[in-house]
Amino acid sequence: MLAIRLIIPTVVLALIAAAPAVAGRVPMPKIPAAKGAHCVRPTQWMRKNHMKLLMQLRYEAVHEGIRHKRESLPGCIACHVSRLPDGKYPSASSKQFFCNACHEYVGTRIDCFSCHSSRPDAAYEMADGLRHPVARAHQAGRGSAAGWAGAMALVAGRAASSSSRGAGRTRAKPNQGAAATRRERLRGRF
Amino acid sequence: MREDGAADGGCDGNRRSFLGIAGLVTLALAPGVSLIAYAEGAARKHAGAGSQRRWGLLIDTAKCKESCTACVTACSAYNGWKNEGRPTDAQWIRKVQVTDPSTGFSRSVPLMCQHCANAPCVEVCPTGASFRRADGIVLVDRHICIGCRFCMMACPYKARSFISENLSGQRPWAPRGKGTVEACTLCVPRVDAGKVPACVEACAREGAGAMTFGDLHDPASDIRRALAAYPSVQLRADLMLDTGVRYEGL
Repeated sequence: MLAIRLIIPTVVLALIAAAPAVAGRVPMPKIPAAKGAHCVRPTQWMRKNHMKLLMQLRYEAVHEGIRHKRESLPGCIACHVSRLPDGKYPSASSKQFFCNACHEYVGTRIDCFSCHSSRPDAAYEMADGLRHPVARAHQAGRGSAAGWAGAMALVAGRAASSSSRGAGRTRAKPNQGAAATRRERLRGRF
Repeated sequence: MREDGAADGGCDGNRRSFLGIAGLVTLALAPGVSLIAYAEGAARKHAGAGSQRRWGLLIDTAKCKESCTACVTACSAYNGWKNEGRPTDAQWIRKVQVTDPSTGFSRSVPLMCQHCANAPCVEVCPTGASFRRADGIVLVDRHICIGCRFCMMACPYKARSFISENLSGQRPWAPRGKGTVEACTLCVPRVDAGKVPACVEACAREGAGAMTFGDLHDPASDIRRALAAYPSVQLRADLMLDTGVRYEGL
């Protein structure tokens, strides 16, 4: 009986220790790193639901004219597609292309890029890796009073800036120092 | 049926105190709740095409010169289509020479999607891909377009083109692809960003300033003032399509 009590944990521990070696034998997709600090939604959520978000954004943009800069296909591309070491952008059908790295792995094929551009557009380059002032406040102070106060301050600021929208929506470049601090604070959350 | 006034009063007191507590709780909670609602509402509703506007275009044909193709070049450059003269090449906007054979009166006019209120392309579309946005811009949702080309046959202005070959190098703001129909979008990404369409900008910059873009529902807009001051026509007004593009001097 004592032997069994000793053997079982030993076997379990051995298996746990051997797990990385076993996982290493399984081919995994190599996902190219994104430029921003984190995604517009939590990464785990995006892995499961990115297609739902894209469908929603697509409907809003095409039919309702609601266009978000970062929450848009060009916004995704701006963050997730980088130049290869040879200075060229990866082809949308290659494994080095962000979307295709996983899609090829799981055997799905998308036709987005037969129409949509697969290269980043300068206008969508990420300023601080975070999308929306309100979402930013949500993430910075999740559940805390400071978070809501921050959201309100940003909404108020947004309302003030949107009143001068006639001349084309211009957005002030965020303070680089503040953005870096925010990134530092958010690192590890997702 | 009341038996005891005191008990009744006690009940009333309980209710009062309950309401008082409920009120306090509401006061404590409401700001947080409405903050969320307000913040998220502001985030999702900050833009969007509404029917309070109707975008339109007015073209003064007296100013438009026959030799000038600035609008066509600008549209092609902005939206990334090319016309190399083949009959099936894309053609979002083109210059047309219209002549009255009985008098010889002739004018050169740019012709593109007329963004009709009663658009025949929208009526014939079997999938709902051809649609009219709330602000009057007629578009093709190419995600659901099956390329049947009914809309091309229905359009009296021959404004739509079909893409029959694989494309590359599309503009990030103007996706286009094989097997779908396309036409003038009135440069929606620009319009949604508060700018004027590329053709209008080019006409003002390089051409004769013959094009005016604006809100047909706003009596104070440039386009409405011009429409009120000078006679204008809709092309094929007999079809009663209520076009968003109007022409002066025809």
